[in-house]
Amino acid sequence: MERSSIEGKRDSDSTALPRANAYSLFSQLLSSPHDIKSLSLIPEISFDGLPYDFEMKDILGEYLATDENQLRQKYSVLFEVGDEGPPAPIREDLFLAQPAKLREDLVRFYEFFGYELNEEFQWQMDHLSIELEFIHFLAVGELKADKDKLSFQLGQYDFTEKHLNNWVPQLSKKLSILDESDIYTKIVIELSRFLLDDFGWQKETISQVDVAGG
Amino acid sequence: MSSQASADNPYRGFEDLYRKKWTWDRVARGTHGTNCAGTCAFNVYVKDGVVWREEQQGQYEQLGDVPDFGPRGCQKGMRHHKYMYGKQRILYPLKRTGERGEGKWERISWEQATTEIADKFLDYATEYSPECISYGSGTQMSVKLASYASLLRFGNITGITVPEFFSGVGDLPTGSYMTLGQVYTGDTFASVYKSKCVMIWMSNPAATRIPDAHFFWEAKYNGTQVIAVSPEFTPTAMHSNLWLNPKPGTDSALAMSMVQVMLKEKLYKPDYIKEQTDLPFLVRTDTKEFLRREDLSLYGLLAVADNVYYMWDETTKSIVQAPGTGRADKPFGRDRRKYGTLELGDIKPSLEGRWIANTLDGEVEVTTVFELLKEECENYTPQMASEITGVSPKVIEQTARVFADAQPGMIYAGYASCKWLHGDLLQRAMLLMLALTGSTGKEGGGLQIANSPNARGMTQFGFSDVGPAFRLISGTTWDYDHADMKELNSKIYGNELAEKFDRYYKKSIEEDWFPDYSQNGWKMGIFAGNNGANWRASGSTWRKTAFEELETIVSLAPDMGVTSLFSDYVLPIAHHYERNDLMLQSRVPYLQVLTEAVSPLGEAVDDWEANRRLAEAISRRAKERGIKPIQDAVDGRTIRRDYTKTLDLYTMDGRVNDSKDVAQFIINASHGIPKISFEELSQKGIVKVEGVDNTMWDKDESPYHNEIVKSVQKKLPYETFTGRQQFYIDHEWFIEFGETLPTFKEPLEIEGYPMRMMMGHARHGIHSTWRDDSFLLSLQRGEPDIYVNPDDASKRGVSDGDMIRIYNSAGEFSAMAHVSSGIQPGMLFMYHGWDPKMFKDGKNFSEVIPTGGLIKPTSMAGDYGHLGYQPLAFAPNQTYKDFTCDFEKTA
Repeated sequence: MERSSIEGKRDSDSTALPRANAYSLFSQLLSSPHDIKSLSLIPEISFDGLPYDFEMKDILGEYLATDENQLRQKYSVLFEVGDEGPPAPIREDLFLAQPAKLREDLVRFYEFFGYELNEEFQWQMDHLSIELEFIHFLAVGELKADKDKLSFQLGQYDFTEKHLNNWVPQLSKKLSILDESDIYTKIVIELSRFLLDDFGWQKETISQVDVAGG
Repeated sequence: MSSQASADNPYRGFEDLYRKKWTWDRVARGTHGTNCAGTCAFNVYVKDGVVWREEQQGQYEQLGDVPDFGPRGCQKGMRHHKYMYGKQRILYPLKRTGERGEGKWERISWEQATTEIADKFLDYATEYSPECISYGSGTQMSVKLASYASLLRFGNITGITVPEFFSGVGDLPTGSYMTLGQVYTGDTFASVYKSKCVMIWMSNPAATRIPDAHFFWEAKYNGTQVIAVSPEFTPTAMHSNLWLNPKPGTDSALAMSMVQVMLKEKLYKPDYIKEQTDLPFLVRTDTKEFLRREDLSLYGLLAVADNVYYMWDETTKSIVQAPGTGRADKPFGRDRRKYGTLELGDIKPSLEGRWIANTLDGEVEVTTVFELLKEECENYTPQMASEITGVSPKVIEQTARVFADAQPGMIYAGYASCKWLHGDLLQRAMLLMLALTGSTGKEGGGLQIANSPNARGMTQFGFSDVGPAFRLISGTTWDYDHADMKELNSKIYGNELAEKFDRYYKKSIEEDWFPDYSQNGWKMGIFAGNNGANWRASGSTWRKTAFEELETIVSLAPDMGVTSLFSDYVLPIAHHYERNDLMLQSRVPYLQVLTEAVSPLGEAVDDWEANRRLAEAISRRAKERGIKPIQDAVDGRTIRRDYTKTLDLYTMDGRVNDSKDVAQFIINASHGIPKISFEELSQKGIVKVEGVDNTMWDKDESPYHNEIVKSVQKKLPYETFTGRQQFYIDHEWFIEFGETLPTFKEPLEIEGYPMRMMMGHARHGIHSTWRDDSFLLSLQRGEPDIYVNPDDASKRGVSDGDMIRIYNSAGEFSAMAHVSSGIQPGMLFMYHGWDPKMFKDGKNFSEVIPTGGLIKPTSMAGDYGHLGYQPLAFAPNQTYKDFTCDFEKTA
């Protein structure tokens, strides 16, 4: 199988970093506020150079203005606890009712590209924030790679197609039904839009993916 | 970890991910700490801190000339690597934010949770008494020795009340205790293979004992007659030589009829029953009481409790004292064994006859228990029993002959026999069958219900440095006091029954035959290792009343169930592959380890650690609040409790730091367990226990009870009032209720409701654990279903798969009709364990089970040798079966 990028179509030097930052932002916003405490650097992250529109100012403002305890409560109620399990599980495996091989696929992605989780988070390798952080990791890899940027580009593309696209749109719909006005609903809706834009852009800048991408 | 992606090894597609062989970081030993009695050794495969699969370990050492115990396991265990990551897991400490049961939670820190709980704990303990705080454990905890020892220690230090679940779930073989002075009568599962005829009675091992059921079928192919007795056609019945299907609740009549056949056709073993049982003992025909020394001499009147009994000796033609009886200085059962022998010597006791005894009351006619038994059995000819049970007279006769001919015969009885109001009578009748045929105490024979480890290390750990200082009470009586069960009895069964049962209950408490820990109310309930609000009989009534009374409810649980749902605080507990512990199950002669294959998920901790955190918070808050020591009165003793020292006591001043330390303590201090380090055990997974060279527990070196076998083999008196297998009980209550001998009594029913609903353990879950697993649900109908006879269904216009409403005067619930010709007309059958949250409107089967307050008066008798409260031995069972209901198709 041969898959290649079209020379000159993707400028990794200018796009990889803002894309990595965008994924990092979503990863942090969707981490459990019980686990990740400091988001003070969020406003300083730069998205200059993103090849599509990206506007998070209002959502970020609302997020940062929300009391930390309130954030924790909102997050837990939606994503972490419930008598029938969380109403909107924020783990892909749980959201999709534990399909066979899903978690193995994640671990194989992580292992192949050298993405390592702290022991504390290993059991939730399917957490949305971790999947997003993985794309961030690959985008940084793309930026730093001297010879084989294509591996990291294809890794992002395949992972998005096989995992993020496989459940984030459904999560977004579910949250809209549960509580349209919740800050986390707004973040996931925005994430869903962002993934659509980014995936489309990725597709345009990598050749032959439709033919051989599996 | 470094990237595999490089110019030499580029990523070009997802196939590249799968080129590298999947490897494991390690393979841990483990099992599933549920009360399925399996303790199946598993290899647990771990990679990147995640359990990916498990496989049967299968390296069991052989046990003589019987089939192997391994490999062991079932579909539930093989599924656990998925279930432990399922949506039902509780991963963080939770605090209720909505109404109880509403399901609204706030995730909080352990520190906040334990601090708030500790403050409430201290408020109740100091203002009222630690008595008003209950810590109810269940089988998920008790089968794990280190976990249970941790609870014992915590309870002992703090003084809380522990409502025990053995009787609390209706599993206590009280009929066995009444007869043998012992509830632990079980051997290893391989003993089945040594039986010549095994009756599987009120049990369904093909579905519920998956790793061990093979012993039955191997025995069958080896010539053993395997006879299943159950109203419904079970998977076990399907594989047996013969299936007897008595009408629900008529089993005692069936047993008594087989006894009648054995007596009539003289199929019994006279030598055995003369030596081992009270059947040759003399009874006064005027009072129906045993002839005792106090009847014959003034000295006898001085005895605290007269336990001298008599026989008629054919050689001397006189009344003689029965060997092994009579010890006026200490008449109660517990220490009798040291003092006598059952050996008859030159005495040749008569089983039949009537004689005149010269008593202090004058001449009195006496006869034997055997004669009275014959009279009782005249009510149970096969023809008469057939009318009660529906089983053909010929089948009854043939079965009795087959069983009597077998040497030895075995009755493998499920705990269901304990769950009827008159289950004790059935067990007494079963033991009678076994005694007449000389089967009790023989390899391959006897009543196989339960045995339990004599794991002294566990109690030593609980009591070390403190002494026994906590309140252990039957869960049944606890519920009766705290959940308005008298009122429920009155509503369902009428005032007459309610008042009568209550009168005897109160009398027993007044006489101090049973303890009463209800004087300070119930302020705080801690529930660990169980889903107690689910399995209780009358669970819905219990939830409405008990949960209203409680000011604070705390659950320690790995999975969300109805108990957690109604709690104020929920603390996350580690699952089976996330903890270090030990398991001993008597049916399997191996010590099994649980190891922490992966760290507990989220913020879960094991039971030891959860209790340690509670102890730490109690100590800290007691110091911060300046709480002075209290004087706590427990069972007549005054105990000083200084709550500032709770943590130091719990950890033995820091010498015990985790559950591994507890496990090692238990290994070191328990006999019958090989002295091995926990680390070595973790490598091996399983080790054979000591004192087992055949299929039964008959050695002092073994970790299990062997009292009954010793009575048979070494002629030591039994721990009963008579020192014999005691079939005649002349306690005044037993005389009053006509239960001096085993007999049959109709099960209770609710007037106007014709269907008797039966339940049993499920194939696809252990109690409520795994019941909601998606894969296991896919092997069933995907939702709770209830089995209905085709004729009953047809009369009500119900087809297979219809939703039906099951109802009676207690309540109603809905489930899918599972129409099956394996179910008798007039009965419904439902496998248990379905949590209320799986049903429409959160109402499960407990809505229609109104039996929680049916406390049988004779089960609270006392001041009679071995009868009187004995924790985990003699206490009233919670009953589940004595009710009826009806059903209809829902719109």
